[in-house]
Amino acid sequence: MVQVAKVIEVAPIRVYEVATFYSMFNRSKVGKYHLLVCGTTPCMIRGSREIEDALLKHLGVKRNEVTKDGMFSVGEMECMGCCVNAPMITVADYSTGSEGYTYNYFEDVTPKRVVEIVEMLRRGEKPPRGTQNPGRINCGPEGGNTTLSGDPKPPPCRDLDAC
Amino acid sequence: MGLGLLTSRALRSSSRVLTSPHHRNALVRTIVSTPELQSPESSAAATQSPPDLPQRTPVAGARVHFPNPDDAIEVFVDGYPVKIPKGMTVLQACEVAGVDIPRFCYHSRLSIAGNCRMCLVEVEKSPKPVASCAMPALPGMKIKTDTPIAKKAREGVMEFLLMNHPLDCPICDQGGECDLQDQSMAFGSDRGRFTEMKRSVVDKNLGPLVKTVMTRCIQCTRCVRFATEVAGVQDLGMLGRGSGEEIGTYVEKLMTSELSGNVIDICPVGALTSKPFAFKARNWELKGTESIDVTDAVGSNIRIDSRGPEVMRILPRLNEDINEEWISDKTRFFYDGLKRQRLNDPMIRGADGRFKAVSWRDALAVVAEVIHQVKPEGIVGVAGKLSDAESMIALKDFLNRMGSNNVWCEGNSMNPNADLRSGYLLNSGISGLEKADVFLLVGTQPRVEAAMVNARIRKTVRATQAKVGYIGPSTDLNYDHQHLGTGPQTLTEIAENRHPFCSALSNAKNPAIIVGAGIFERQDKDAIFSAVESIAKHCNAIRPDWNGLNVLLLNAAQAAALDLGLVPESENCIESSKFLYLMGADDVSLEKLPSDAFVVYQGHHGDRGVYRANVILPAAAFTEKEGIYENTEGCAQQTLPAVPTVGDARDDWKIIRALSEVAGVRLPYDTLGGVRSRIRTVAPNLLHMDERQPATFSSSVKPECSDKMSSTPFGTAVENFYMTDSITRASKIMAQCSAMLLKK
Repeated sequence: MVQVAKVIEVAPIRVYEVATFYSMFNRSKVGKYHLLVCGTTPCMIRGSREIEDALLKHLGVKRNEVTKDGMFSVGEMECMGCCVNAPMITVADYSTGSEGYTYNYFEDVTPKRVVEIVEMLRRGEKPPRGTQNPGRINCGPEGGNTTLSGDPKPPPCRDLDAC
Repeated sequence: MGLGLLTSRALRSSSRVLTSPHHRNALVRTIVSTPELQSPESSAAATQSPPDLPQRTPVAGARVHFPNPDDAIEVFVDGYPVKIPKGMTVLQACEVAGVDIPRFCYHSRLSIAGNCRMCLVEVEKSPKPVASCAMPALPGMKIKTDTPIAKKAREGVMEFLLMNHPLDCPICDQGGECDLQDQSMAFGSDRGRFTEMKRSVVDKNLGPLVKTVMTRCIQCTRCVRFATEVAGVQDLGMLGRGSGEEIGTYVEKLMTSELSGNVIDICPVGALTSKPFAFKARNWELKGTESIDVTDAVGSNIRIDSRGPEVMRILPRLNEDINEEWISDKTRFFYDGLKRQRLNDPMIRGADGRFKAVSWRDALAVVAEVIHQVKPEGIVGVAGKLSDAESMIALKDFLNRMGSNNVWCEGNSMNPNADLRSGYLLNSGISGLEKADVFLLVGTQPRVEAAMVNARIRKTVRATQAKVGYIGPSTDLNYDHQHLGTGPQTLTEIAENRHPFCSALSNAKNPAIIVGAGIFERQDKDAIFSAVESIAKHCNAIRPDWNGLNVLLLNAAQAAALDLGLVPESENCIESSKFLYLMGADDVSLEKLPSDAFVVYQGHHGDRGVYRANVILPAAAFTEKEGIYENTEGCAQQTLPAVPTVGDARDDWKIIRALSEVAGVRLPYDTLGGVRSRIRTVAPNLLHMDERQPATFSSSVKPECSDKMSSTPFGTAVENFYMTDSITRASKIMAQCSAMLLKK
């Protein structure tokens, strides 16, 4: 951080301020796959705490700790805007260096599904990103669309002459 | 400090009547041609108010200054129309209208953060309450400060603030002058709805002066902004987020600023309090005495809080022209030196070399007897750096009556230039430095010599990107500066227009050249001053509307001593002296003093001067007497007694008056008023209290100097910022500071 401060010519404390504020800056070593569990209200209501517990129990680490083989670490982060598919986790993938770096969302996860995702990652597979609920397409509702099924009606007040 | 406190202070300082309770002193008050200056409140409040609304006075005497009359806009605060310049915030508009808005993060001298949300007000046509400190006032805005919506919003903010604030007011040093305490009386609930655990934060170590209880912090970031903007040390920051947010330095480190004590004042809660004052007293037990500081030549306005015979703490007073509302750490924390190493009784050194306490009668008789045995040429007097004008005129009068004129004030050198006041004053004025756009510092390190002047230069540099050129030993000024060179060589180059910095100087509108008083001690000072004057002539620094040739003095007594004409007759009088009268002078070099010389030390501390003394006469320190001091810009101010004198000590001028009686050359004044009438005949400007008396003649009438400058580089005038005089050298806190903060 002191080096960063030198490069951008500010006092070191200004860099510390930013780095401690944003959870995306990792100030300690993380695993090849850094798993971030969303802990904001919608995900929390939909069970993000259980998901985190399941991950931690499966990997045998505490929060912000790296597994012994250096593969995984678990952290918490703030809302990533997928609340419609809550709960969700994000996997920051450092396994292929900075060029192949990916940052994928896995939504609609369950405690069982996150363990499966972890195991797939451990085997080197790429689990499908996005919603993990087979009944949904992206963020659409389960079981197909329920609204906006027909053509939209024109707005009633557009006929200016009638007004 | 509490809001109410600030308010009352500001009101007091603006309406201070200087004929004071002491009518016999007959202080002069000049007539000011602009009556608005004398009562800013009434002129500011004279904004046409409809007759049906009661007249309100602005909060804290807030003044409205219209840079451009066309930019005036009118807003309505609670239905009361008020004219303000464009660009003012809603909060400032409310202050002008006489409504005090509660606030934590807003501070008029710091940048706006807008993060405490306590200053919420209702604005007509705005869907939500607005944070008044960050909202610019717009023409015709209708601001409502006392509606149920505003009150409810503030109550909500207060509930959140108190959620994590510990309920330790009974053991908190801020108790009684705490903004949070005061405002929770108005907006706080009697019970909380928060049932979880309160958070706690690890305390930080910021050094020997500032005590931290970080759990009490409400994250207003005033201290962070103060450190960054005013003090110029980017040490503090806001770390983490959410409930883990805290103020800290991240990597544990001390706050190494000479202004760090001010964070104690600006902290609205008890998170940052004074370490030396911790658990010593409650602020409502203290008696405040409005006085001035004498540890440097700035003359910062202070309030001495005392309990009984003890000085408990020192706080700044508002004075826009001198110290704004800050003071340096030395000023704030040296007070414990007033209790140590004090001289209580008159003492005479016996044949065995040990001091023996005697009565005043005996001590004065011995001194009078010796002084009559010495030839007038052998009588020498030196006034110390903490001497007031009264004692210096008394000393000079006494020695003159004894036939000697070898009297001077330490720091002024043996042949000072006392003829023209412009030759030793900060002619631009301390607040006038804000108008300068290029600074040239010659042989001065204002950061250690006069921390408040340095803060003013830093403020100017920050506000206007003014250029600063510095000649002297490499030093850490807390603003951007060009280090031009270390000695007179560079000065000659600039004077002869051969230096790249010359173009900056000559293009400047208001160049300010500041020469350090350390130069006074040099042999070639006349040559240096003539070089500086030629620079000033080149860049047109001396004009009727701007005098940019400044001297920054080091000691509180220097300016008054030169005004009173304390100039020794011969340059090497110490070598031939047989009778040396040291009036609190500790830093004068006594190596060349003949061994058979008789030394009288009159002072309040057993410091360096005492080692050589034959007779000690105990005197009062500046907290115990009424005395006039002139600061470096030529503004005379007076100290007032806050505590009784120690032991058998007396005021300095009274001792000399008594001695003159015993010696048979009675001085013709018996009261303080009498001494001041005598001062008026010598230097009438010293009686114009609290008004800057600028020098009338510029130095253009000085004779040319033909001396050559030596090539010795400029030295540092102040080696240790925390220990410069007898009081600070006796202070334990200052010793801790020098040990912890100055080690590299």
